[in-house]
Amino acid sequence: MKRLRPERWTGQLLAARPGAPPASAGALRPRCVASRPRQLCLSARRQQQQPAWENDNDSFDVLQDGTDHARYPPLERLPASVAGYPSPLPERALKSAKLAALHARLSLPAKIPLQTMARTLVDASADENPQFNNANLAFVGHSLITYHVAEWLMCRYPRLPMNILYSAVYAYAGDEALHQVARSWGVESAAAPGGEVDPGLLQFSLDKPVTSIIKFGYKRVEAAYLEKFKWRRGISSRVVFDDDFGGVVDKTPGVEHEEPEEHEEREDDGMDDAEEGLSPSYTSYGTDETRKLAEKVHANFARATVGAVYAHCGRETAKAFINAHIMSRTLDLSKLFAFKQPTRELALLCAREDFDHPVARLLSETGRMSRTPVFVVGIYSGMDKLGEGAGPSLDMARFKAAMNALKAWYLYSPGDNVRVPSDMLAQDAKPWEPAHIDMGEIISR
Amino acid sequence: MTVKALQTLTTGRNGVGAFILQCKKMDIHYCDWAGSSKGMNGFIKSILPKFAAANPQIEFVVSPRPSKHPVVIGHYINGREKAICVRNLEPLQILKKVELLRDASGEKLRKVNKPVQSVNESVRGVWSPYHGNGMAV
Amino acid sequence: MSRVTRLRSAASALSTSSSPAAAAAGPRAAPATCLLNGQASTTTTRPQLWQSRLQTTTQQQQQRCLSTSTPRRETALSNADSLEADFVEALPPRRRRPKVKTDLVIPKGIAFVTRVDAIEDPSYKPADSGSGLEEIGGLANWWDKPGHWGPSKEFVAFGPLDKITEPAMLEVLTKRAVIEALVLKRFAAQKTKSRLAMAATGDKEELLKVVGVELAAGEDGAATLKEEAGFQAVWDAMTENLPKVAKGEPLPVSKPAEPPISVTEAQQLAVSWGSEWKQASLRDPVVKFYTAKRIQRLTGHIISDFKMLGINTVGNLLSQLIKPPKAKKLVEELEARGQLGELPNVRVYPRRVTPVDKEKMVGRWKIITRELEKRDLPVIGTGGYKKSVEMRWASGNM
Repeated sequence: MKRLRPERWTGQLLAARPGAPPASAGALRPRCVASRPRQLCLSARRQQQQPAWENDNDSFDVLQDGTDHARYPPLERLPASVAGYPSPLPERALKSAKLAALHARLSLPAKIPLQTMARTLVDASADENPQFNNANLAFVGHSLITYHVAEWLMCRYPRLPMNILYSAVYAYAGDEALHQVARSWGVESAAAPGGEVDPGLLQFSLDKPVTSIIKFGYKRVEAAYLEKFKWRRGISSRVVFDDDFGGVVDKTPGVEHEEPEEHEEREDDGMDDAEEGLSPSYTSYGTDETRKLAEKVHANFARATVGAVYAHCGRETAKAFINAHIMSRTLDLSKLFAFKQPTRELALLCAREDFDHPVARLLSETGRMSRTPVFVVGIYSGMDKLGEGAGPSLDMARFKAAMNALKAWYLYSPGDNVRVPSDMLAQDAKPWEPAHIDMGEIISR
Repeated sequence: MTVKALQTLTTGRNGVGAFILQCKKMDIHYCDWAGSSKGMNGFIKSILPKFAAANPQIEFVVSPRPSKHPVVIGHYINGREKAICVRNLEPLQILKKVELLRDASGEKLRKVNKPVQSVNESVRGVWSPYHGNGMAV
Repeated sequence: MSRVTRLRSAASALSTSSSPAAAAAGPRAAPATCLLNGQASTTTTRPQLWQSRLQTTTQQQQQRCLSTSTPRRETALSNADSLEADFVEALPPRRRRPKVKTDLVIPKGIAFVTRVDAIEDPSYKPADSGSGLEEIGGLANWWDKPGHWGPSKEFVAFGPLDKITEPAMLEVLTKRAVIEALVLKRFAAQKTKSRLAMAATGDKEELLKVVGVELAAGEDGAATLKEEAGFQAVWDAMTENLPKVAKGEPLPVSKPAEPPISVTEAQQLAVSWGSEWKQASLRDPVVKFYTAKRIQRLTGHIISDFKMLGINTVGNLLSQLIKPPKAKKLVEELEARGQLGELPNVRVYPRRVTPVDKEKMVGRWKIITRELEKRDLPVIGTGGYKKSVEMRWASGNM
């Protein structure tokens, strides 16, 4: 039988170019898990440097994984020490085709090295070491994303009520939305994290979820009471204390403070009611908790990518990236409104703004005695029509008209291309013209 | 609170901001022994390097599948995959198939009856019987 | 044999008496006529009849043997060599073996051995069985027997059988070939010498002398030697040790020799010349042909005419010669080309990617292994467990 030459099979296919300096074995070979030296080699995409263990072919023990290496030589020869690491070594990022393809798919500038991209794919639940996971990058990214989204929404829709604004920001920059963004980038996830997985896979663990600190806010004094007695938090206090989405900030990991009113009318997310045998939320895709965890992990990856862009390329590039990937998404803000007493609110608004008291007038109708009548009601303030609505009954039509009038007020926009405050940070920015600042809520609590 | 906020999600529109090519990976399988793989072997040697360099956002994996016909499998972001068997094809014909896979979206092939598909409302508005000058009977 | 002998002796006795023709004509006609007439002329006596009949048979014999030849003489059996000589001599001229000067051992024909009762050696004892006896005679496998096929028939190729593949050596020999081709074109008038020079392999000094001359581009871009004196110098070096051949004689065929310098020396030489000489143009068909022939003699590489059309510079020629062996597997060829391996978004695997490999890449394999080992189940394979025993019973293999 021919003598097998495993060293010929994979190593040289992606070998270093002739003339490239071999990495010195001492510097790059880590000794233990805890103190891995940080690799921050800024290598351009084309420069291929061989990992340290590839230089001396036979002097390391190959990772044993229970298979017959004589018959099926490993496709990637890894040293046995790799099994002890929770995430792949940064040098392996240069050899991963998945990672290079992801880098190009997002059209990231060449300044961002593949090692940083590999780091953004490692969640805190996979690797606790903050130098090797994406927690810090995700924090930076989250701050940037919510800042830019919030300022854009505030400048574009200056009269939005605060809770609608929170909801809108969550729609753009929340966990679910960023999870969809990460999915749309074609990121696959590893089944279980480890040192031997492909660095281009998103690595996380659902067994030991670690809440990494992403959000910024203040812990309320009455946090325990809020949880226990379900106290209501006012909007103004939320603006001061809570995070960018209006949620409570609590240091205790794993504690999720959910807004009760925010979850009442969630859109149907396709959960099958028939599969409620094991637990209410168990489907073939896991449970509710695991799905939420996975969403969070994907969202953190997206945030970490933004953080990486900011770290390597600066503020403007990061803003452009956020514009391109996050703010280009559509949101119909009018669908976020759910009114309780629209006529009352409209009357108070007219009183505040010194308009004439709103009067509802029937504009047209049809089929009053039939099974399906349609009444079109317009609400007038003096001679100006504030809003119009159609409904199956007079009251419904009136409410609809009031809601439309209020929406027309709240969704006022100075234009699509409004200037935001962060535009002033650019070098050659024109002088700032003040944006429209609203008086406030009509009925504030 | 008079106004309650509902929670929805934004919808992504590929191409409006950034464009993400939907084909994320291509598996290229060849055989050293089979005669049907001759064109595929030639494709891998001569045409694939340029194609892969021109499409850096696609991950190419070239591996042998001994004693099988050559096949190209495209993997898409929506999770679906499309396989095309390229047995007995010439390299340039295989290039056409590969380009077809690259340009596909991964969705199932369906017939499109309407000329326009959009999430935006109509520009002129839907006709309403309650607005306008009415109809003379 | 005895019958022939008797006839021979009778014939020889008869032949002395009269000429056969007259004897044949008369008595043959006579008995026929006599019988026909019915009244036999009693003048012919019985001994005469017998005689005439004998003569008839001799005549018939002669007719059978083509009457121009003399009848066979009586020979003694005891002398095998004389037997053979007579046999050979008695053969008609056109069946006589032509005399050829060759180093092949041609079979002699019938081998004669003395008969048992004629052997004179007293120590001879006839064998009891055939084992251990020497087999002589027979043409089967004649040329395979040692000593029969001569070295003159061994094929001597013009170029060495093992083609030279070392790049540095090829460069040195190509330069030598080009220079010699130019010189041969110049001195083509001296036909014999140039032919011998074409087939010469030369020694180290000659090689170094030839190769030390510099190539340069001539007026119309064609390759030529830098100095005019170089032509004569190289010609002298080439014709120094040529074998002497008389006029009209064919040129001697000699085996091609190994290159006289070692690989390291060749590498040093190649490096010292740089790469300018490789741009020398070879458009002249005479020079091209001489170069190709010389290269065949020195390196064994035969360049087809089709390829020759495209070779216009020395660099092209070298790229044709310096070719690595064709890879058996696509993976090896891709590795040699290197383009696909440099691309960051391409991964080439040398063997089939199995489901286990896919699990390893995704990180699930370690969990599978761990769980199987926890349950004492085999990770790979069946762990020695075969198909169910009932299947064995059903198929008849008890």
